[in-house]
Amino acid sequence: MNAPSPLLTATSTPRQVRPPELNGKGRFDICSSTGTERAVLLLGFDWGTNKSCIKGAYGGGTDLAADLIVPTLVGYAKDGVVENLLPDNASALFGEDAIRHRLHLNLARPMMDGVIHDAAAARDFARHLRSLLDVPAGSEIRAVIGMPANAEVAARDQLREAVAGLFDRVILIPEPFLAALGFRDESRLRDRDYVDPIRNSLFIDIGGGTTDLCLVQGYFPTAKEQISLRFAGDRVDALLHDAIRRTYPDCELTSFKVRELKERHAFVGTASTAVVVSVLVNGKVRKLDITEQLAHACSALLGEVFTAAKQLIGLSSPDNVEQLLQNLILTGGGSRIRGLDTELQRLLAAEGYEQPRVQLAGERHREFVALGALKAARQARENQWQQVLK
Amino acid sequence: MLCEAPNQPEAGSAALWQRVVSDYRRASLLQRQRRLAESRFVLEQNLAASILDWSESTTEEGAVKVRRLDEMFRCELARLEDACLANEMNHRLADSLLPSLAEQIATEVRRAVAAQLVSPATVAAPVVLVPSKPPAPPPDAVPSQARALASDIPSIIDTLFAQELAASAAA
Repeated sequence: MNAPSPLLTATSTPRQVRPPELNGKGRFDICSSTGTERAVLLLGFDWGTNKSCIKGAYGGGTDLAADLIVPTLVGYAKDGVVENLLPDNASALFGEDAIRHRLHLNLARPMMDGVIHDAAAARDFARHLRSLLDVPAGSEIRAVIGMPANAEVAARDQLREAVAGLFDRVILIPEPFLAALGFRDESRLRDRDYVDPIRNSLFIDIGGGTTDLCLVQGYFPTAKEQISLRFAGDRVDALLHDAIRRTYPDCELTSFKVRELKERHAFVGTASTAVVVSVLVNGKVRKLDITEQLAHACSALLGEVFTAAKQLIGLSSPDNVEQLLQNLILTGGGSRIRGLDTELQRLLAAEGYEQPRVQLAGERHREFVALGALKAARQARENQWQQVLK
Repeated sequence: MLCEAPNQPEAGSAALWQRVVSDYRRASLLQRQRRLAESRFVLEQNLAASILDWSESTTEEGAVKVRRLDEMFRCELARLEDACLANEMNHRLADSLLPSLAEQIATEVRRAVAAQLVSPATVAAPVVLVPSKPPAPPPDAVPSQARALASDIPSIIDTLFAQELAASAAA
């Protein structure tokens, strides 16, 4: 073939315009497919089981053009719902709106255990997220999307199918590594006191569907160095719900209420005071002591994390393990469980590990995967973007 | 590279010379295919005998015969290299480059067709999901065995593509 096909040159070799340098590295922010410049919105997309986070920016720009956190939930209007009861008489609501109007909706969860569970709901949810992006006509949207570390080929294909035609190009990258990348503060790399998290650390990302652990020691982790547990926030909810039912069989709580109680009161270790909550049962206020139930559910998660962490620490060489034990990082929604860091640290020390130090990623725990994905999107080569069309 | 094996001018020994060439070609091919025992057998039994027969049938001097044989060996090896390279290219074209190219062309055609069809007044065209296998890694991609640096995102993506291709193939 001497002359390439015009169809191929249209998108496979776009003209690229280099934007101003960022942190000393050039970035491609505008690609042109047919001679006219086309803006490219880069997205970092953490499609979580319970919450989804999107960070978006135009090419090398530092300002975020999209910054969303949306509960991963779709509600379809129940048959016979009175006209105009739902906002805009919508047939489907998403995220917080779906939670707010759940009484009149059939709720569908697009994701379960970190992968797509309901393909139709996932497609609708992705379409909703796309509608939230304020993108000029003709722009191209490229997304790096997080996946559980051990996601199978079928799960990856399902995810691509769900976003086909909504995002122009995608790349899928394991979530725990993205969390590490998102947590990394590039502006502090020259700071002597700053410990680069991708140099030697263990990331523990506790989400809704999966708990992902990832050993990062300067290299992209191998499959052996990443563990994805299907024991995470949802499983804690289920254990807590069961325990409350057993103790208070006359108090049926909704799964939303149970999650709310967990998010507000979850703890591991010894409770400083009893956790007594007020709930409405048949319209009347009841006070329930759920201290033991919470301890039982949360300590089960701690046990899983502890076992998996030991497994990955065991992979570290004797020369590196001392430094690794200083960089055990908890992130994700589960990292908000009170005492999880100190209890994990205590268990490891009791097991004989040398002065382990478990730290919390902090308030932005929900955003690290999406931030890491956005960083990856900025650095991906032009020919690495996968085109997905419907 | 084109290289002709030298002709044997003496008519009486021409057939014997052709046997020498044929035996050497066969031995080289077998060696290339890692069928070493068979190759050794052809070299030690057939080729040795055919060289002896040819040598006795020609009146040329010993040094000339050796030069002729050396030249033939060199040319045959070069031809074999060319043939193997061509064969490998054919396989690569058939197995990887052509399907990838066809897929890319199909993608572009569908996109162009969809762009033509979609307008507020028209009904959406039947939905066709374009296969979205990861692109073949570029020539400078990190081999799957090598480990990508955690800060080298493009190499990490290459690694992930290679892993996914391997997983797809296994599935």
